[in-house]
Amino acid sequence: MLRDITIGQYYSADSVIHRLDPRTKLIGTFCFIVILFLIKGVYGLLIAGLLLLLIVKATKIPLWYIVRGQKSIYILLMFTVVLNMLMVKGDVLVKIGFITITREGIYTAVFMAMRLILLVIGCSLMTLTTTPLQLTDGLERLLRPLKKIKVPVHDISMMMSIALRFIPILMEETDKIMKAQSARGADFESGSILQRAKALIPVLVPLVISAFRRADELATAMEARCYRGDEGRTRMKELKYQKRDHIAKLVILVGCAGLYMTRFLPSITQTFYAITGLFS
Amino acid sequence: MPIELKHVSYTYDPGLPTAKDALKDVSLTFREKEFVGIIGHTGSGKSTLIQMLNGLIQPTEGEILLNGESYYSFPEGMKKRQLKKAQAARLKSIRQQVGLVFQYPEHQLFEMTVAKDIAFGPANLGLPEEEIAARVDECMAMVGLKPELKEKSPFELSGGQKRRVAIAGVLAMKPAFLVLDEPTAGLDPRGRDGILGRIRRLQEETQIAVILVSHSMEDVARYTDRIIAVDDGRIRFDGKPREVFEHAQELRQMGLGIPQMTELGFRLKEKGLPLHDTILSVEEMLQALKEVYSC
Ligand SMILES: Nc1ncnc2c1ncn2[C@@H]1O[C@H](COP(=O)(O)OP(=O)(O)OP(=O)(O)O)[C@@H](O)[C@H]1O
Ligand SMILES: [Mg+2]
Repeated sequence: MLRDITIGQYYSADSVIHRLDPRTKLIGTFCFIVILFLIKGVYGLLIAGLLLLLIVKATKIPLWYIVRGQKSIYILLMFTVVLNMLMVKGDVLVKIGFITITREGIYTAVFMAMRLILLVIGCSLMTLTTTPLQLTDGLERLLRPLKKIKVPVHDISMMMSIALRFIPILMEETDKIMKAQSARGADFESGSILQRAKALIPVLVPLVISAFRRADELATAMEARCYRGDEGRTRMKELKYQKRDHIAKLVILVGCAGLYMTRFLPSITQTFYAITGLFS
Repeated sequence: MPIELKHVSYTYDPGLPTAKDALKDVSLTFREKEFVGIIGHTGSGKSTLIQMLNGLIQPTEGEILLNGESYYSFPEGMKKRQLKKAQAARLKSIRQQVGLVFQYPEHQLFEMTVAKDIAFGPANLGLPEEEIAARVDECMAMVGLKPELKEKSPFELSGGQKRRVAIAGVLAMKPAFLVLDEPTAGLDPRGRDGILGRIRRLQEETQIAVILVSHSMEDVARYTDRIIAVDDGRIRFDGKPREVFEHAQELRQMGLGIPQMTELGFRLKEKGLPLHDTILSVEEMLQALKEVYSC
């Protein structure tokens, strides 16, 4: 159940994407996000989705694993769809009481949902194929110029990697505590919403205590190994771009340019009108 | 009222690269009133095995029965809703009858007071107030907690005391089987003997069956009547401590050992001392030596 949530988790496999420099992947993800917001039509998103599918294939991560991990955004997705459907004004298709559904509403809802799904899958591909350690390293290197204007780049990336590392630990802990309380007859699955919320107290209290305890232990462990921030810290593995990174960057560039061009494709509504126009 | 496992296997994360066969074709019976020790190297599947006894994880393959009744299979032709209800009810009754104390159980305390925390289990069983209060007092005495600790916060107690509270919380459900996962991990020798001694006495007095997972060969030799040795998800030995510890060589290969006194006994025997039986404890060794030198 809880183990199904895979936000920010690493999936170990032996693929080209896994071997890419984390910086390449960070840049790629960033470009992908930007381009998602520049794409105007459903066609563009469909092409972006197709490209993403190719990348998923290349990572050797089973698609079902990725999709299963996105369960937590389903609610957000529903909200987006429903709100867009009801709020966008335009040609009215259905009208029941104060609820009106418009042609534009449906179009926007579909568009937004697609964009959200692509966004989340794109970002999770990044964390699925990059270990937290690599991710931090990459981020730190990319943001290095900001150090000049006194941005604590190292600390920010360290916090991020610790946060990422803590997700599976806390999940495991939650699983363990839930099991232990179930062994004492706690019931998390039945009852009203209020009862279920109350049933979570025996899980939340030990979980919070344990999170603090673990944070404390981690701090001690880091200090015991003489961690004192960025100053004078060297790396065992310096990041270095390989040939495949240059190729990947080229692919990113071409891909993004191509996706940007989809702005000039006729929109799906135009196609629809054009086709229906043929018959009238 | 035995617990039977029939050809049980369990796989974590099936279908993923991290998939792990934690148990492989395990068949076992835990009888009533028995004191069983489970030993095995880290990662051999002990915790997985005992979580199964209590219905917290469902075998990937095979069947598990309590009192001849399967944990998970129901008569054909039940409707989905009915099935769900029946399953929940059965698990509830299993968890009442098979009490499980996790490793580091003190990490699961959450209530404001010791008494309330112990009452959590019986309250979930839906018992009346007076009954719960009586059980809290009774179980605190069983694990050796002074009554004046009742109104204290569990977080103010020492590690050993917290653990006793957690054990009392499971005992309060009055299980027929008490399953303990390394109840003495991280305790000092006195705390360890305190807890295990009390559990042994409890077992003798109330005839509750105890299943004890432990890394200490001394402890299992001293307190249990039967030892099950798990190796990489399979049962390698199952028998009386004396029988199991005769296989010193194999146990060592499994990353385990034998009690120090047993080891000493074997060595003395090699040197030609006429010791007969496998020796398990200091007392037995003393007795045997006395016999040899007839004093
Ligand atoms: N929640 C889990 N998810 C994935 N794998 C697990 C999980 N729990 C245990 N395992 C794996 O299953 C195997 C058996 O684990 P188990 O906890 O049963 O061992 P154990 O005998 O209790 O060890 P220990 O003596 O260290 O407590 C181990 O290899 C472990 O890595
Ligand atoms: Mg264990």
